[in-house]
Amino acid sequence: MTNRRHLVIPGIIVAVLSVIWDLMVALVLNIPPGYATTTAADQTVTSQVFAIIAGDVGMAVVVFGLYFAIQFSRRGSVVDYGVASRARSNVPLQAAWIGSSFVLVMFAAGFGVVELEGQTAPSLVVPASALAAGAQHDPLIVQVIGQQWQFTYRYPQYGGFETQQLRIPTDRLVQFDVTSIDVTHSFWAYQLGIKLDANQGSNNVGYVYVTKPTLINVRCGELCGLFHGYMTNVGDQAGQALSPSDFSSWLSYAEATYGPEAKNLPRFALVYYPQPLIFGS
Amino acid sequence: MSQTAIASGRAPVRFSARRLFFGQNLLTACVVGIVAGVVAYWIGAQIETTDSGDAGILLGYVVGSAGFLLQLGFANDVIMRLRGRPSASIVKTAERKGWTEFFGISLDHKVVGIQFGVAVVLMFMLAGFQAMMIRTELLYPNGVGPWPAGQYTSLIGLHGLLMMFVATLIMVGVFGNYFIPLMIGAKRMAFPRLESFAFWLVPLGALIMYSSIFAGFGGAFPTGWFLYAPLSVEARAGMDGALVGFAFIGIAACIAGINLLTTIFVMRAPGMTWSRMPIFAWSMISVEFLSALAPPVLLAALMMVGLDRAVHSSFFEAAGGGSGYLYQELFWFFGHPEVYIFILPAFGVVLEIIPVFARKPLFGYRFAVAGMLGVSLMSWFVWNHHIFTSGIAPGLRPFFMTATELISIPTGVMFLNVLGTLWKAKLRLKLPMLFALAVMFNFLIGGLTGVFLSDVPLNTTLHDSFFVVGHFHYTIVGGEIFALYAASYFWFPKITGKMLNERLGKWHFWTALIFFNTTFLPMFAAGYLGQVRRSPVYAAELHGLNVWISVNGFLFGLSNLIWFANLIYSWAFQKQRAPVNPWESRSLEWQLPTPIPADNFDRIPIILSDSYAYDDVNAPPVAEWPEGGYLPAPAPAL
Repeated sequence: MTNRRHLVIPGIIVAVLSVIWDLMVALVLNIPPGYATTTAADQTVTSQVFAIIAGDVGMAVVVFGLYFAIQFSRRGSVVDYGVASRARSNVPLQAAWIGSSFVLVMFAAGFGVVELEGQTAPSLVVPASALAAGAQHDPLIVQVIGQQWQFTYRYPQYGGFETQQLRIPTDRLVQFDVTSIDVTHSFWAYQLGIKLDANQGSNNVGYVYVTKPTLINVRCGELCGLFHGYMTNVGDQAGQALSPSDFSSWLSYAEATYGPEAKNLPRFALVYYPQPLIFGS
Repeated sequence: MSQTAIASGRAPVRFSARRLFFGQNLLTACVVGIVAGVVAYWIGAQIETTDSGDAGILLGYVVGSAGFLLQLGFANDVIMRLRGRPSASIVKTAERKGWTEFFGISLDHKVVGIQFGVAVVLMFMLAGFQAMMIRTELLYPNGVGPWPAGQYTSLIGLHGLLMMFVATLIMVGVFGNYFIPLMIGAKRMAFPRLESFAFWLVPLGALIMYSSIFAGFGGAFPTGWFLYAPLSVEARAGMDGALVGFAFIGIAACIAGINLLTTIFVMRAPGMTWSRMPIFAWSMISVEFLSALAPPVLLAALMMVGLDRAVHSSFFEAAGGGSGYLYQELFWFFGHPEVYIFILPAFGVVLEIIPVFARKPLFGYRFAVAGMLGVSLMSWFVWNHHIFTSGIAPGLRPFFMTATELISIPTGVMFLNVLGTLWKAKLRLKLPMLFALAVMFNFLIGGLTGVFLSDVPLNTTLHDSFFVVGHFHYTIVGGEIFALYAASYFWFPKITGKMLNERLGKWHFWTALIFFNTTFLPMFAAGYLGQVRRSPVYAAELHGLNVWISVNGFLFGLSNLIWFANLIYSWAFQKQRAPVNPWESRSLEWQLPTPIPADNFDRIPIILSDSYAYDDVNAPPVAEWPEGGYLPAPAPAL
């Protein structure tokens, strides 16, 4: 009976704390990155689910551990031999421990795989309601080029002009083609919930579908040398997700302003190499 | 040698100018190393086909190090054998050479353990000081702190890489080398010369890595501890030091791993069966498989970067047909087993300490062994989770996500071991026990946040943010470094014959536990709110959070100074000697007298039972010494 008491008391504490924590995660905490895109919304929901699972499991272990440590501690330094419980192992308990952690892990993995599929496949990035309402399937392609120490953006479907500001429309699938012309960078558009490394000689593709107009803070995620910390589009320089009408008016402005420069740029390609090549010949 | 010298265990040290200036010792080794390095640098600069200067620097470092090690005497035995002379005996008598032993090649695993301890703790304090410098910069949001951008990136690189050296070696080098032979009843390590060789690579590697700060503008190297190519290929000359230094530490870890594995496999005393081995020895087995097999991959990657830099090969430059992915894959193939090299010994220490203070057998011994070996095995199949956002084939990601989450199952086993051992125990909450419990608390948070990072959708936002910084500091500092504290309070009396001061220890424990958590817990929030790691610039609204983290970080740093002061005070200034077995442990190393004789055991002991039978009044002593042995196991005090 006394043995059971040492399980029931911490069990009750865990149950109470878990309910408080779960309600807090679900209702009070405002977990980033928010709901500006379907991708970001998925991450917010995943964060909530994981915070609930991890928080409850963690709390259980901490409460039981602390309770045992306090309850079973002895003052003074008298050495005791002969302890009531001689159990050196308990196979059913160990099996249950493995089994329950396996269930939790497989749930997390399954949940993650489903969510991941929803962020990788372009057809799943667009919300079902928008598809039903006849949303466009053809993505707007934006090429993000990382270089020391700034990002530039090219719009190949509109003459391949290049800007230093990111502008994308809401309610349309956007495809980012990310590459680098020097070292490895990482294109982290915080509110969009995407982070894509920019690698020399390779094209890293990601999709987003913005559901409401938002500012987009862009920072370089991968250490890229001296001014890595300054490789940002934030504040006045922050990118914007615009409503479709605002975006098309920005597009005509940008084509008129930056279009003439496009002919001086290298022809649009998925990857770029420094010219002239210093290797080979 | 006089009888008194033998009795005191110390041979008289006589000064000899001839031996000092022409013999093989640290002084002449340094001179030879520097001369050889300068000559090799000059030759390398002459034959170099490009103008980068890297060939000369790399050659200088490597040849200089070889000169240093040869003059220190690492080839003597080989040369003796080549000349047909008998090899110098490595089985020592009860003779010690005094303090000079610590500045040369020592074949005594206890001396090497102390050498490792002093070197690595000094490196830890230095790297910790750099952490304080980093936090000073982050007191200001817009990169207007005391260090300009270039020096800031150098700082994080130096802090990261030096801490990696520390974390790789602190458990294996200090406690593995010192206690494994004592725990398994061996007189020495399997390869004593290799053991000393592994040690001497460490100060050499650290100094070479650190010499990169003389590379001029912008300081050391701009890549953090990953040394990601192609940035590391185009970086300035400081990079070469980082490459060679890191490679030396990799070689040291590899050699130490092979040595400890062999020792545990072949040198156990009679009766020391697999199921009687202390759990710390099992943790060393699980670590050393990683430590022996992972660093060669790192060496290959570092060598490729060196070649790219020095002779413009093109492993990592896309324009020449190479790929930066290659570096990332190679590095993390090493890098993920590497992080388990950090944490598995911490589990070993915790599970070794808790039964002693719980006066109960370790709960689920076989379960713990299976868990540690499982972690060790599975750690080879998860490395791609470090590069989820890099643009790897999307089909790989679900596999690596699942594999990463599966590894939490064997890791979670340790928590049941601890809870089961605490259950109905008679706990003594002494300092080693408190720190061991703190390890489990910190690692729990570190482990659970790891599950967040393993999830690819969440990783998209959290990767390279301060969430990652919080996560790995919780596992490495909260796990491994706290286990280092625990091990230091636990084993210090056996190593030095002095107890660590308890009052200072209590101050250290509470300040370390509180300020560690107040420093690193807010970092998870900073990461979620979008703070990029390795960047001196962050959003203005995160200013308050960062000031809080910095101030608490400084306090955590001060708490480490308490520990450092305690080590020095207790070792050097405290008069009172510690009891032979202050914690009433049953483990073999505590049955030996302090200081431990040079040969450990007069005669190899015969092991009668495992060391965890704290529940049984009638349990046989852990070992029986043949005639003329040392102390018997302590009689149970009833």
